[in-house]
Amino acid sequence: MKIRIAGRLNYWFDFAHYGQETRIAISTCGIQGGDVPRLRPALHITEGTSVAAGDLLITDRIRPEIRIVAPVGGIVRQIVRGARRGVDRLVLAMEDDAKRRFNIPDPLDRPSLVALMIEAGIWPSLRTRPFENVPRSDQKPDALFITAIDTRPLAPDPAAVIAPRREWFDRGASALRHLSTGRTYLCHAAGASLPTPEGVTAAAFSGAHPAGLVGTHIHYLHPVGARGQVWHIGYQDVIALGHLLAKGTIWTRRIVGVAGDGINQPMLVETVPGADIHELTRSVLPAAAVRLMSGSPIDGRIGRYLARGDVQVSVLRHAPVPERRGLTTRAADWLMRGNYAIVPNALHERAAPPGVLAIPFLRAISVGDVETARRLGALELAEDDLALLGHVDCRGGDYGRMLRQVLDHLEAER
Amino acid sequence: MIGPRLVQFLLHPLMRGQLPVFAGLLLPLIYRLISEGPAIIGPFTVLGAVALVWQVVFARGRGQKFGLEGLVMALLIALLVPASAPVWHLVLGGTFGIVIGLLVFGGHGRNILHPAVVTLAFLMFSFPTEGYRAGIALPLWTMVPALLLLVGSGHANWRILPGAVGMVMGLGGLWNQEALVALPGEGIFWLVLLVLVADPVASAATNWGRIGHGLLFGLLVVMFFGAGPALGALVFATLMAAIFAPLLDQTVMALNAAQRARRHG
Repeated sequence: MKIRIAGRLNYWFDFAHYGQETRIAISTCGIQGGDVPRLRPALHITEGTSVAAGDLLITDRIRPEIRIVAPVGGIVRQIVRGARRGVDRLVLAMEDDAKRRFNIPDPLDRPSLVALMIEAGIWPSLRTRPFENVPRSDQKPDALFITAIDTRPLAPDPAAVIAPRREWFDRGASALRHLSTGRTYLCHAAGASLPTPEGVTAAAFSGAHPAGLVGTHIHYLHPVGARGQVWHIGYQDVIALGHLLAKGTIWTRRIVGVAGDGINQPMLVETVPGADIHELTRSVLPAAAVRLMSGSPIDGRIGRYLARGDVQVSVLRHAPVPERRGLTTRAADWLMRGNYAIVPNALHERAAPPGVLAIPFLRAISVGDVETARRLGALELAEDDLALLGHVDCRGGDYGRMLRQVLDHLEAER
Repeated sequence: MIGPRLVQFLLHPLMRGQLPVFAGLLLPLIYRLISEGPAIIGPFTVLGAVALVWQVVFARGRGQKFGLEGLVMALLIALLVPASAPVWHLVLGGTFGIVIGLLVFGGHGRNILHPAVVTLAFLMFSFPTEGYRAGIALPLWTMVPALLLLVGSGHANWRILPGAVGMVMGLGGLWNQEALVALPGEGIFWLVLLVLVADPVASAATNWGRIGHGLLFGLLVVMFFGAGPALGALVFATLMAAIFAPLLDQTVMALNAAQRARRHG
C-alpha cells in the first residue's frame, strides 16, 4: 500500500545528515512525571534504593496498567515531587548492569502479552486515538499502527535505526498483532525496506512533514472519530518489546538523533531511555548559548532529560540578544506587532493535518468552541498534529494546549 | 520548487504583517505622485492621522498592540479618492471605517470587513455627488509588484483571483459588454481585487470558500456595473462579497463535517 501526501514536498526544513551510530556513556538518567499523560503516581522506592533495570519504580493510583520501571540499573538519587501529589522527576544514577529477568510466556497469546507488557513497563508506550491516552488493558483497538517513519525536522531515519535490530523489530511487530482486533499497520517511508512480519500490513508514505505523523496515517488507513479506537506505538518501543521477548530483559538503550543549528555535525547516538541531555551533548556543544530540547525543533520540550518516546534531541542556537537595540530593530519590532488574532495565510492550508480546514479549526480551538472543533475533526488529532501549524502561524499561540483543552472537554462528555 | 530557505523567509514576522501590502501599494502611490503632483499627500496625511489616533485610543483602552493596518487603510483610501476631497469628509469617513470596520471587533484579524471598504462605501453613500464613485486611472503595470508580493507571501490567496477575473470577463463577453471585458485590464480592478477583496481576514477562510468568494465578487461586479461608475461597482461588490464570505465558509465547513461524519462514523 502506497500513499503519497499530494502536493506536499518536503520544503519546510533542511534535512539532518546523520553518520554512523556512536555510543555516549551517560551516568544519570531521569524519568519525568510528564512522560505519561495525567499520571497519578504511587512511588515504590525511596531515595537511595538500589534498582535493577526493569524493577518497578512508579505505578498509577487509578490505572493499574501503568507501571513505570527503571530503564537501567542504578541507585535512585533524587525524587522531586510535583504539583498535586505528582512526581516532577525521578533521577537515577547508573551503577551496574543488573537486569531483572521476566518470564516470557510460550506460546504468546493476547492476555499473556498484555500482562507481560504491563509488567515490563512497555504498556504506556501504546497510545489511543482519539484522545492520545494510554489504553486500558481491557480495551481492544480496531487497528494498531506501528509508526516507522519520521518526517519531523532533523529526525533520524527510522530505517537506519531498525536495520541493525531487524530481528527484535520483527519479533516485536509480530507480537503486537495479538493486541489488535483488526489490522496491524506498519507505516514506513516509501523506499525503506523494513521487516514486515506475516499478518502485518505495510503502508508506505511519502511527502512532507505531516506524512510521518500517526494522525495522517490513521486518517488515510483507518479513520476514527466519534466511534472506534485505534492504538499506535513508536518503532523504538517495538524494538524494545522484541528485545524483551527475545532476551527476557528490558532494552536499556534508545537511539537518539542529536541535531540542530547549535552543533556542527548531527550525531546518531546510542544511549539510555531518559538520558541526561546535558551529559549527552556536553562534548559537542559550542561556546555559544543554545537551547536543549527533547524532541524536534517544532514540538520539542525544553528539559533536562530525554522524554519518553522521543527519538531526537534538538540543539538550537539562541537568537542573539543585542546589547543595545538599534533604530532598525525597534522599527522592525513595532512593525511586527499584532494583537495575536489569527491572520489567515496560504501557508496555513499547506501545514494543516489532512482533511482539516486549518483556519476555522484554529479559530474554533482558540476560542474554546468545543462543538465546532469536534465537527471539524478534533477527535482525529493530537498535539503533534498541530505543531507544524503553530510553527507556520508564528504568532506564539500554543495550539497543542488549546486542542488538549478541547479534547479534555470532549472526553469528559463521553 | 520552493525550498526551506524561502519558507523561512515567508515565515519571518515582517512578511506576515501588513508590510507586503504597504510595499505593494508604493508603486501606485509613486505613479499618482508623478502624474498628479503632491496633492495626494494631503488626504494620506489626514487619513493616516485619523487612523493612528483611533488605534492608539483603542490600544490604550484595551491594552492591545496594533500594526501597520491603519496606515495601509489610509494609503488605500488616499489612492482611491480624489485628491480634492474635503478634509471633514475624510475625517468622518476614516473614523467610521477604522472604528466600525476594524477596532470595535477587536482589531486586525478579528474584523469582518476591510476598514478601507467601509470608509469608501460610507463616502460613496453619504456624498454621492462628490465623485467618490468615479475612481482613478491606474495602469496595469503599477499593480505587478503588489500581485507578486501579496500572492507570493500568501497574504492574498490566489484562489480568489481566477474566479473574479473569469466571472467578469466571461459574463461581460456573454452580454457583449466591452467595458466589462476591459475591466480586468485596469490597475484599479487589481488594486481592489488584491488588497480589498483578497484581504486574508475579510475574505473567506477555506480554500473552496475562497473560490466561491472570487466568483461571487465577479458576479456582483457584473450586476452593479450597469448602475454607476466602475469604482462604485467594485467597492459595493467587495462589501457584499465580504458579508457573504462567512456564509461560504459555513457551507464548506458543513460539507467537511458531513464528509467526516460519513467517513469516520
